[in-house]
Amino acid sequence: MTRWPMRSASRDKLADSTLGDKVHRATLHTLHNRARLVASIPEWGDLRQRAREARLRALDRHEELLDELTRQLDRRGIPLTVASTSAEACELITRLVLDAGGRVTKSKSMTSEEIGLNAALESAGAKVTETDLGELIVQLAGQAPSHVTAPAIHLSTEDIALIFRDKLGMSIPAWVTSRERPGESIRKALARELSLAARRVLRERFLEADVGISGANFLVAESGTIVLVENEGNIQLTTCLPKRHIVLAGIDKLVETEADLAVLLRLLPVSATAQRQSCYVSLFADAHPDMHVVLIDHGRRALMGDPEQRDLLTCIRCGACMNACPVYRNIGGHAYGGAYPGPIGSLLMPHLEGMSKWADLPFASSLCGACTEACPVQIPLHERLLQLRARAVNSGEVMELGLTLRAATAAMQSRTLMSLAGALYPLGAPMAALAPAGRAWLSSRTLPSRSSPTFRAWWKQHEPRVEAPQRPVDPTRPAPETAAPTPPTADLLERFARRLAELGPGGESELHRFSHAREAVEFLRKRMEGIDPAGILISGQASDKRGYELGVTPAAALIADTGGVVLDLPDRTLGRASTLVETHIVVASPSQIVATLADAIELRWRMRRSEAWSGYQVIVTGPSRTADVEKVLVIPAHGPRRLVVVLCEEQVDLAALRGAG
Amino acid sequence: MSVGLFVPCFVDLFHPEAAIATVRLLEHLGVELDYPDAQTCCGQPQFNAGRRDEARALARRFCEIFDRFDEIVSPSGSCVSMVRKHYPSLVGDSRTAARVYELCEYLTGRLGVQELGARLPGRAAVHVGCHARREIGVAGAAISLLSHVEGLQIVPVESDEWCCGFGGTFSVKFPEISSAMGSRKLAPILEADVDYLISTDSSCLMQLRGMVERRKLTRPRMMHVAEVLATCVRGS
Repeated sequence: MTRWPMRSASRDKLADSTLGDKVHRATLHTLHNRARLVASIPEWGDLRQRAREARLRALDRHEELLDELTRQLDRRGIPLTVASTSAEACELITRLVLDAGGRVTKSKSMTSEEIGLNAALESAGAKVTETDLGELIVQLAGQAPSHVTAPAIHLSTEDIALIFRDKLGMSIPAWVTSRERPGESIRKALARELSLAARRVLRERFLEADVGISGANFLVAESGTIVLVENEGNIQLTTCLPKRHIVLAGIDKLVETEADLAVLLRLLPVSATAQRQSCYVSLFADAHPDMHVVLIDHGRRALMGDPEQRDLLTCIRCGACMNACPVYRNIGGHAYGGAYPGPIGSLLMPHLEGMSKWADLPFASSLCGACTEACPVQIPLHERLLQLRARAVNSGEVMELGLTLRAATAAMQSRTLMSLAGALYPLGAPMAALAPAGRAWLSSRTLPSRSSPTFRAWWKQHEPRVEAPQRPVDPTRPAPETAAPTPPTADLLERFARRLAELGPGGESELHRFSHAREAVEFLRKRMEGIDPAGILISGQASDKRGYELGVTPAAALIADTGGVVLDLPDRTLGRASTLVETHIVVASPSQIVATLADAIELRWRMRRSEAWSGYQVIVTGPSRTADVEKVLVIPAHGPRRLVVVLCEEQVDLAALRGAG
Repeated sequence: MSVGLFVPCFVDLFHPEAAIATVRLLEHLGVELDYPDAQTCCGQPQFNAGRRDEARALARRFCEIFDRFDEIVSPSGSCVSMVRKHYPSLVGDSRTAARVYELCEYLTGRLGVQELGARLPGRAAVHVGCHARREIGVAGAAISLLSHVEGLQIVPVESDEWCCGFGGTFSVKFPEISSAMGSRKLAPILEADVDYLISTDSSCLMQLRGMVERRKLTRPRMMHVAEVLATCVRGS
């Protein structure tokens, strides 16, 4: 297999002087916001530790967990297939897609990039639409995603405008094609317009799709729950509207318990997008009548059996290592050549697809360790890179610099030879320009010049002037910082209100509190006034697949820490009242509040076991949003543009509202 | 208490001033140093290039030379990190690995000094090398020592924690990426218009100095932290 030419690929990317600027702006934006958020979470270090333990435990017990998940799904009539190879997975999914009609909406899945699913589907005649905004942009541009959580991070607002003009027929402002660069507010307005255009275009695709293909962030063995995390609402629409739902994920996405899930769900949005919680967390444990789970091995089982490197499979695909990596920030993701770029990609690609193709990747790092510092599940990424380098050398894949380093080693083992080499350096240095690598070095830097005298020579002449000893104190190591966790004494409802307000910086989220049911009903009726009753969807009511002005649903729980609302949906079609609507009103009781996401996950698991709750929950945290165009926050994405939470002390009868508009 | 001085090979050859300043400073503080003449390289270039057998040979040699000391001190975070963090995987439990100290941590942690009476008027950006910062955690010690230097104003810049792009053999294998990283690192430092760029590591300074020289700039002046701190020694 031909070696991916990492150096020449990176040289091509560096030749575009704007790329590094774009990637720096976007990654640093996320990095800085993440750092601020992490600083506000005193238990962050503890969470990372627990996450690593949970992920490693899942690897230790992998085959058992896979059996358990298979049993859980089987009980619900959902087939699970483990495909060994990409070809096997593509073939199976293609068959499932064509059987169902061939029109596919697809939510973001790096695993599908890894196995080349879109190409397989399209060559079989299926029509595939990527629905994550970033993914849609790169799909339209005929490119691959360049980042695992921000696929279009390498494109500017202007680049995206041109793609939308050419592929979607969108009319764009004249300044985009001129040399003029308007103020930031004008550029941001265009970013917003582009995001909203994607909403319009994709809504049609969602409604007509025969099959929805999603990935999975986690698969919880003990509860058989498939977990998907997103901001835009496209995953909900992909999983709730088409009659067939196919889940594609790596076998490494298994976790053992719901408690482990609660830890991982806290780390993921903070690390990926610098959010306390992503907008939608879908928890599927339902008996969907037409759902298929395809898990892919593609080198993962072999990696599980690799004691030195297996923790690479604990990765949760947050992309934090890419944001932190100065190599990635300069060259972007495409230069890495594989589905997964950045530090984790440089490690995964050789394992998944072989060292002979990907031997350059582990060497494309200065080993600065910023990735290791950023990784929320504590993978020592730069140390793993070092180990892979040793393997690449030992397997004979990498010979570059071998002769030079062997000669250097020989010299370094002898003081005399080393001194001789030092003495000859001034003669040899000018020849550096004759070698290509030397020329590349010299184009931006000078070579250091040999100093005279060397330190060694100086030392021989040196008369020690040791002054009065001041020594030694006991070794003092700084005491580990102990952060005293502040007990959540603040009123949970106040915290909920504050968080919910933060989620709608332009007033897109509202909170209204009532003591009596009649006041709440009066409020709801007022919101329904002037809307065609056909445009209102009250929870529980049968509905068509189309857009609605207003949806009203009850809440199953509220989460103070994140401003999140848990919806319990006995049937996926009921998801329409919270997704296909412009405004989503959630009616809740203050008594439903819990403090943390972990409490909510624990509550859900309890309610699931007692069958008080159904098989499908969504945690909604604010109105739908995207930041896929140059990190400009746009509300809405594919879901509601406004989220209204109505808190009422008394039970509100939503059924009574029907037909009252 | 015997204290060995470990001077990395490239410091010996290209930047002896950092090592000389280390000697002056430590002797001033009452530390009697021994510089074993047989020393060459810690083996980091080989290790980072994946050539572990060669690195192991050099690690063994290093341990033979330095094993007799109670403490080993070196003005290089990167080389200290190689010995402390990676020698155990090459040569097993190593007395040497556990006793090697980077200069700043040696000053604050072993000697318990902060205020040395050093003086350097001017504005400085500080680059704690990535291994010094992330592998052996000496950023706190370095900044604390520098913040006690009279007349020196430390200017924080956006790229303080970014890699300089050197990375040893990385800069030879991927010279274009390496220099792009250096430019990104340097831009905010140049913009801050500082007099000095001070680092724990001569290797990072070598990369950044090379870039500044190539652009024919005269500022900032590159200084190793040892040189700054040694201004407390009369006659240096």
